[in-house]
Amino acid sequence: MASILASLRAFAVPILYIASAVFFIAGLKATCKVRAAGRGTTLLAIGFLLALAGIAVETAESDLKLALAGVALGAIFGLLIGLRSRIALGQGIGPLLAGAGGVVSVLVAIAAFLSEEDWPLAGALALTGGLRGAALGLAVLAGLSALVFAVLAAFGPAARASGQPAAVALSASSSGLAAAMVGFALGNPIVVTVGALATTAGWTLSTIVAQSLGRKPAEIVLRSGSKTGKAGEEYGDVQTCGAEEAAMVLENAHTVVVVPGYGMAVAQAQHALHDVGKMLEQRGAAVFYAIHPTAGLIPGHMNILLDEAKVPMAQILEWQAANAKLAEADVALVVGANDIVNPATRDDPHSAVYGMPFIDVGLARSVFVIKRSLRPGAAGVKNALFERTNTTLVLGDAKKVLQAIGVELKAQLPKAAAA
Amino acid sequence: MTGGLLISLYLFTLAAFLGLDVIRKVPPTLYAALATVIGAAAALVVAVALAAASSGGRSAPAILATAAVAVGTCGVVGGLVRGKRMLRVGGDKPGGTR
Repeated sequence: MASILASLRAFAVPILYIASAVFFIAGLKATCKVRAAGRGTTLLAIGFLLALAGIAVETAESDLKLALAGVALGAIFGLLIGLRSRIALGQGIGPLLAGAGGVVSVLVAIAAFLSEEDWPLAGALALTGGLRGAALGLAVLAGLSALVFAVLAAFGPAARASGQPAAVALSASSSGLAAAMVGFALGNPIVVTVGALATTAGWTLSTIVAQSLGRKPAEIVLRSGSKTGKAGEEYGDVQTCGAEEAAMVLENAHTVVVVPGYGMAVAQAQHALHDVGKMLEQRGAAVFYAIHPTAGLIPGHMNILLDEAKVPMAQILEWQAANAKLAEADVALVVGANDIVNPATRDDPHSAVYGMPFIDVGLARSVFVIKRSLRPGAAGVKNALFERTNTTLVLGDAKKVLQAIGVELKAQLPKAAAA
Repeated sequence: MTGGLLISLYLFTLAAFLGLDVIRKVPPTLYAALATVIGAAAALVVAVALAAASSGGRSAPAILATAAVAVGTCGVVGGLVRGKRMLRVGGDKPGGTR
């Protein structure tokens, strides 16, 4: 009887750990997708419970008083911080949570040093001697740097900037490394696995965030402010999003006005653009293409490209007609155009572009601008459109972004047809 | 003992590569929530602390481990709850990064 129980236990532990790892991976993957992100935290919570069940089976006979007291205390503070901390970017204690794994690793490493080799639960994988010491030492180093990053993310220069998630991700990455090192030293496979996962996931995320701001992760953590350009030409609060979110808004639009510009020509995105347009029409939307007389390199440039992509003439509007249509449009989709949609052409007599014909995309309920970067257009002036609250930038090559939007729209098509 | 090290290294390497691949093409609305959630995942090391704290002793290591349990539970619970809240904010309003 006892032997059956023992062998059951021997099997249950690795199975629980493996299942836990699967849920952690699925949870992180889901959190990268707008449509699936809601499931992400649930999957991760299941991962945690499975890992804890594994540990519980491994430590069957034990005195739980201290452990439960710690759990209760931690859960209360966790709920308080989780529910009460401010979510918006800015100083606050919320980002400190990412350093928790690092602090735990430091405390456990010190405890393991003190208790030497009679650490409870040192499994078959546990290290001994110098290797153990080295792994614990690394855990302390990584754990302390996680704490430093977390404090910088919460109160340092990064706290005010849109780069705060990069600092949080770096802290999470260091926490993960510290956790993995503790897992190495004490021989816990699930802690090694999830620690390693968090290490590279956090690092990758911090580089992605930094890249979207055109900076390096270290710059974001240590210095505040956006990349400096000429005075008065910096952009303050711009909203950006990915192709998936743009697709989510587009698929609910009844009227869409597309404004192509030089960027579409450079990226040769006219076919991808027309594909997106056709998919929107299949969903029942009315799609129009607004042509500005000076869009592109030469007059008529956009007409040639749209004609090449076989966009029907009836859908092509001159700029005055486009402005009338924009007033009733749900979405204006600007593809690589800048100066021709700059409100300064109408509003700012001192601007270099003042007086030019102007397509007033701001009339539409929401505006998506596909652009490679926030660099100024041919006229070299800032575009206030990008800072408006109903404008969202989708940064990237026009063709790639449009293809990504197309993939998203296509994925949603059958469902819509069934409904 | 080197067997243990090798298996751990094996797990570490595979999981590290997986981490590089899992995080790909993240829309900016999800940056903050994803960073928070990865932080929560890293706090799984609390499992090791739990085992140590429940070993029964009242020695210095057990006290340290208990403190670690409190901090770690706070990190896990707080991270997941905060991440969930961030997702709710982002989910209501596509394109609304704040």
